[in-house]
Amino acid sequence: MHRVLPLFIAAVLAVLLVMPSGAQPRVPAEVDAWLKQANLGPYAPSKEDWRAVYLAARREGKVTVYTSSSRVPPLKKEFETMFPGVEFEAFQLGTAASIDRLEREQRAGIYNADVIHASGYPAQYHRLFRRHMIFAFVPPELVNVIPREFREPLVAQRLEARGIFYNTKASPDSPIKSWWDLTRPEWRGRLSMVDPMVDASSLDFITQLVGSALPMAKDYERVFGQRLRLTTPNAGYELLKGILANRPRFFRRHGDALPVVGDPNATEPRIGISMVFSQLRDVKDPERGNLQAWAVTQLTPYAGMSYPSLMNIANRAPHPNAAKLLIRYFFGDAKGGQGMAPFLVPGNWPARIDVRPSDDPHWIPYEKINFKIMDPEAIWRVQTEVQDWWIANVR
Amino acid sequence: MRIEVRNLTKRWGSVTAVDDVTLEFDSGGFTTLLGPSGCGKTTMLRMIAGLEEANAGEIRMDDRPVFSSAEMINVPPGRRSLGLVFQSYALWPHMTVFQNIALGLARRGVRGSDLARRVREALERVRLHGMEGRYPSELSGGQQQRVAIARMIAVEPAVLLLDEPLSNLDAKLRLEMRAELKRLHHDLGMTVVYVTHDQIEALTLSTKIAVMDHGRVLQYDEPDVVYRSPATRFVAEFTANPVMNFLDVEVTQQGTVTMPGAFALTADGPALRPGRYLLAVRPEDCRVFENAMPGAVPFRVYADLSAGPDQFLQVRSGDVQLTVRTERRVRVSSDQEVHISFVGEHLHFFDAGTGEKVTR
Amino acid sequence: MDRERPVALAAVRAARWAGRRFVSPQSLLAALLLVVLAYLVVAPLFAVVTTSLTWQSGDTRFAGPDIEVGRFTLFHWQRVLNSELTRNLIVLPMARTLTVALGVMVIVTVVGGALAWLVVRTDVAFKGSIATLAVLPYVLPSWTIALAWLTLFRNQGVGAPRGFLEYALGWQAPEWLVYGGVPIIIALGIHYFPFGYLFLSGALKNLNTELEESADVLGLSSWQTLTRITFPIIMPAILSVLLLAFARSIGTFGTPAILGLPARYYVVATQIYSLNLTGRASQAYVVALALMAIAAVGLYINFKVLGTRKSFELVSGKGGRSRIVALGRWRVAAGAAVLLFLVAVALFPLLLLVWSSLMAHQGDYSLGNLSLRHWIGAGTPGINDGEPGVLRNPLNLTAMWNSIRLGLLGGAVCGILGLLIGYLVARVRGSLVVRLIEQVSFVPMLIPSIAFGAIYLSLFARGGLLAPALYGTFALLLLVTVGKQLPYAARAGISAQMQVSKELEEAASVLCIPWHMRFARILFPLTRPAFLAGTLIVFITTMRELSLYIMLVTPRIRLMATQAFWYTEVGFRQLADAFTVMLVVVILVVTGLVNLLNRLSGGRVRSVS
Ligand SMILES: Nc1ncnc2c1ncn2[C@@H]1O[C@H](COP(=O)(O)OP(=O)(O)O)[C@@H](O)[C@H]1O
Ligand SMILES: [Mg+2]
Repeated sequence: MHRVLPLFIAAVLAVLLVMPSGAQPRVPAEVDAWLKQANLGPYAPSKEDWRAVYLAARREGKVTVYTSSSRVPPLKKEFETMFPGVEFEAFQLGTAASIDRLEREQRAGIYNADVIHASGYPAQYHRLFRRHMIFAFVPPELVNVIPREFREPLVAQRLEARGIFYNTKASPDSPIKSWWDLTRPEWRGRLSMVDPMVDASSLDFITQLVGSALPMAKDYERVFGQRLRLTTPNAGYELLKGILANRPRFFRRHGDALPVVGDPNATEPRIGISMVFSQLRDVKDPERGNLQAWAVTQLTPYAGMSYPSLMNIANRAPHPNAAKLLIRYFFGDAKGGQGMAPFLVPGNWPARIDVRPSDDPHWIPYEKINFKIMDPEAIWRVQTEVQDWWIANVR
Repeated sequence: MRIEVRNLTKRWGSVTAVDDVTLEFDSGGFTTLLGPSGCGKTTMLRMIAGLEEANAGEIRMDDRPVFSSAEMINVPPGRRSLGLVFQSYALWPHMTVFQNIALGLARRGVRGSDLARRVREALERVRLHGMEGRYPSELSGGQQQRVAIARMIAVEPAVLLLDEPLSNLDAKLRLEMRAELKRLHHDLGMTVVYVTHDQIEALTLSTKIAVMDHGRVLQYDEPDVVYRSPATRFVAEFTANPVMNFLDVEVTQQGTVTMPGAFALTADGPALRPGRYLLAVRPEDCRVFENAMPGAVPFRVYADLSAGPDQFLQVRSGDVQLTVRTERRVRVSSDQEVHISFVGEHLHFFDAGTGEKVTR
Repeated sequence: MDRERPVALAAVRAARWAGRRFVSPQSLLAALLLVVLAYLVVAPLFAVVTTSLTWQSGDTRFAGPDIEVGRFTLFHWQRVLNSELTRNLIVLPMARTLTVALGVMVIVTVVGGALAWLVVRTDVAFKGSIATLAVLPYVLPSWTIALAWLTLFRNQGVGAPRGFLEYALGWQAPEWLVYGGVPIIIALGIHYFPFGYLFLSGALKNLNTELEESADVLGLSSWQTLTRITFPIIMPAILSVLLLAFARSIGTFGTPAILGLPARYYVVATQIYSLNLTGRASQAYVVALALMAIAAVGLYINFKVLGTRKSFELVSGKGGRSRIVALGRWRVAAGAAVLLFLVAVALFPLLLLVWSSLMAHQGDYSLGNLSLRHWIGAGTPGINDGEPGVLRNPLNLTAMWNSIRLGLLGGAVCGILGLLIGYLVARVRGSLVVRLIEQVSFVPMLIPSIAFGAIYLSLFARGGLLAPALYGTFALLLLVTVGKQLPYAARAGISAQMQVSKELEEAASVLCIPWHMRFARILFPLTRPAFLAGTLIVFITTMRELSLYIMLVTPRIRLMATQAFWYTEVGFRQLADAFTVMLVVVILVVTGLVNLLNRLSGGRVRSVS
């Protein structure tokens, strides 16, 4: 079997621990009727006749997906060649707008989207799934190669991750060993950060830091050899406070922060916080400015946060069979082709464990990085508190 | 077309621009609203035109009510069959002279060669033929003004309203245009309502004059009557040409008119009740004598302001100053003593307090 | 029986009134505009207010699972206005926003006014080029100016890659010149001064110079003439410029995000945007409403200054002539200086963009690196994921056509509505209803685009009281464009109509020319430059607007802005830059064509002054 497998088993356990059980409240009758008719949810057959699904999808004529990823619209051609007669309609909206738009439409009784393909696990879970606006669907034949936490309660296509990047020109090896190093005065004015006030995923990222207060406190003791004296509610906040004291520069998008962090002419070390791992594929590419940056892969207490990127079928999707086809397409084949292909890049890890890793030289095996897996429940619970604290403390 | 205005009132907040005015404009007449700036003339005109809505009162045109506050009638301007020449001319700057005039005609269904003919006729009436292709900015003030008139008469309205049409022109042009206007009125036979603050214009053009002040009509008569027999001190003053002599006088028991410290004279005609009055006398109603005459009062020449055939003298006696006008007969020099008498029937006595004319 | 008589009488009167009294077209128009505004503005505004006052679906995070969505609460107001967040959430950003707005207003009026004066009132050299270049900065997306600024000024000293100035001169600009309030003000000022130029040159063209000359004759100094005569008379135009500069600078997100965030310089626009994206729409709305309240004060001052009594009619229908100031030996020097300035602020960012689009490899400014690959290349596998050059992608052409269609249609509708509103405001001054119309037409300026689009989705997507189902239709995009951009066209319309003497219209009404013809034949031709300006401003804005449409577009009605968004998101920097250049070219070409058509159809108003 594959070497990633043990990791996924660990991940399963971790997610199972934090995942609420009995996830979705009882389904209303009319939604249930629709599920039955669409062969979804509890009515999904244990074996799909894909030929029949395709024929039905062709009758439906198209599939509509709201996606956070710019990598989806270019798939149109391939999808339509594979499934003639099914038009591929992708709305690239970004995570926040995808969720917001789907929710507004569902509330207004407009059923336009078939699939929502985006991250934002906490928001999707609480705002959409618990209100019966989205439903999980996994091709039955793939159940064995997709760990449970990527199937239930919501289906994930892959793992994404955020963490810390450093400038490899100024310091070939990671200049930091612990999160707490970032609070040292020598980093003053050298930190860049994707702004959690503007970017929802960065907000998730710092929320996760606060949520890891206990390991953070322990790590502080290890690094500085003394107990942390709290001036804020917990060690997570204390870390954020220390980082803010170094006056990081904020950027709207990770794409804006990367050229600063990876400046090939930099003479002093630079650090980027809340950088997206999948950007590693842009690094050192002369086409893209020959940026000199790499991810910190080993850090105490953890190097970054990994989180699932989801794809689920919307309530009353106008083209449920085409939606099923699309989900299967997104899972790709065992070679990592089809809809998985653009996501088989360094910094993304497919939910299918049978997929061979990319032969990209930058590919980093998941287990080489000490990630923390996103805890959607904790994030949902404390996020407003963290955001409030952040708003009140950023100067 | 006859226009009747009854109890018309227009207020703007606390300002009463037109105050309970009742007037009748004769069909085919040339009626002038005369008064100082701000007395409500333009407002009257605009209400007649239907551009302003009165607060109270009624306007009828040939017995058809076009405005009535009581009956809630307000006929829009376009359906009152009138034309209005604005003080600012209000020519449409983006249209040629031809287009300015043609627009109203076209609206009335005049097309093609008919249209061209009528525009030409209108322009000929104001003696502007050949200017069809010009834009307003390429015309002089007088020409613009005539285009404004042509634009209105081209549609042959029953009533033509003119708001101080000559006030922006030079003196020579003004004289010329007066003649043109009189001719136009004569040829077209329209009812004209004319607004001006210039008494000469009013006196020369009108068949009737309404003298206004503070939104009220003080006198409404033929020009001659207004001039010869002003109803109030204000009318007397406002119709002066060029000035009116005002004297504070006292009438004695004997009917003698005295001005303490200056003169005493016996006026002809029925005696006034004794008391204090304001005496107005026009310069031309004074006679000048080089020698003492019965009934003439001695004055000293202050300045000779003669111009042209007429003689204007400013004379003084103590604090009293008079302007007299005679056809040039006497030869005088400054400080020379002259004797002045007044033509009895042209002495106007006004109540010292109210300024109303006192009938003898 | 007796008691019923007054009623009967009243009924009779009412019937007579309805039947015989002439109902003025102004009242009909006011009623019509009220309906349109209720539909386009009041309904969304109402949604904003109610959203800010009720629990939303995401609010379980604040208040636990027991809240009832849609139930009244003051929570959001309390959090924003009276909590530990207040200082950073609203007070500080508001103060900065107002500072920025003030700075931008000054730049826009001073620079725009100076250019307008030079072009309209003097014999300065290179007039044609100046007039053309002076509008260019507005055609560029505002963020290109911000990026150009960074390309020049950023340096290692502020922890950023080297910019041109450091590269060439070794000079490291201080931080306050690289990030924060000062560069934001300058970048926005550069972006919006064309407004000042367009509005003020229009007003100066219409201004009868006799008014100024009479002041000269009375012995006033030039300065006195300027401040006591010229300024007051063109005040409506100045106020329009100030208002536009104010509204645009408080509403712009891109520039403060690029130049402000790195220095933690948050303004209200960034704050609203971030609250919206992090599930705090209600709080975003509270901030937006607070901003509206402040803007209402600005509007009130506007009314006070303009008053209902003073009249600023410039097109009087009476002839007059302009005078031209001879600059003498300064003629060429002044022209050259102005040209230099315009090239620096207008052409430089554009050239930078063009250059960047021609770079085979990002960030390599050597000549050998120039290539047309990102324009017309067929797409090389392995480079930009095999994406072809921008001119090779048929989707870009569809997007272009849709954007042009939307911009021109939206612009025309806005332009007409703007003239109608301006007409009412100018003719029926002081009426409460008309004031209401003016105020309400201003509101959309202050509702952030992204929120505006989201509200429209909720209100109009599904058929109902307000409209048939418009989801996914072009009509919905048009509607939201008109709703959001109306204020700009309304400002243009108001200042134009204020300048036209009402007697010009009255002369026509005396001639029995019906209202629609008076509008078509007299008012419209006279205000046509303003209509055109309003239309083009809406067009240009629409071409680049993204956040307004992000909730409403569908792939069928792809827009240029969504394509540009995609290029940027994927990180195809040169393709994104090439596409931006294409956008600018499209805007310039369409604007030029519209102006040309206008001129061919005799739209040039004969000079009236
Ligand atoms: N639109 C208006 N609003 C307020 N007051 C006005 C208006 N038009 C005229 N007035 C006032 O009404 C009075 C009469 O004005 P008007 O009829 O124009 O006088 P005239 O034409 O005799 O000079 C003046 O006191 C003037 O100030
Ligand atoms: Mg007047």
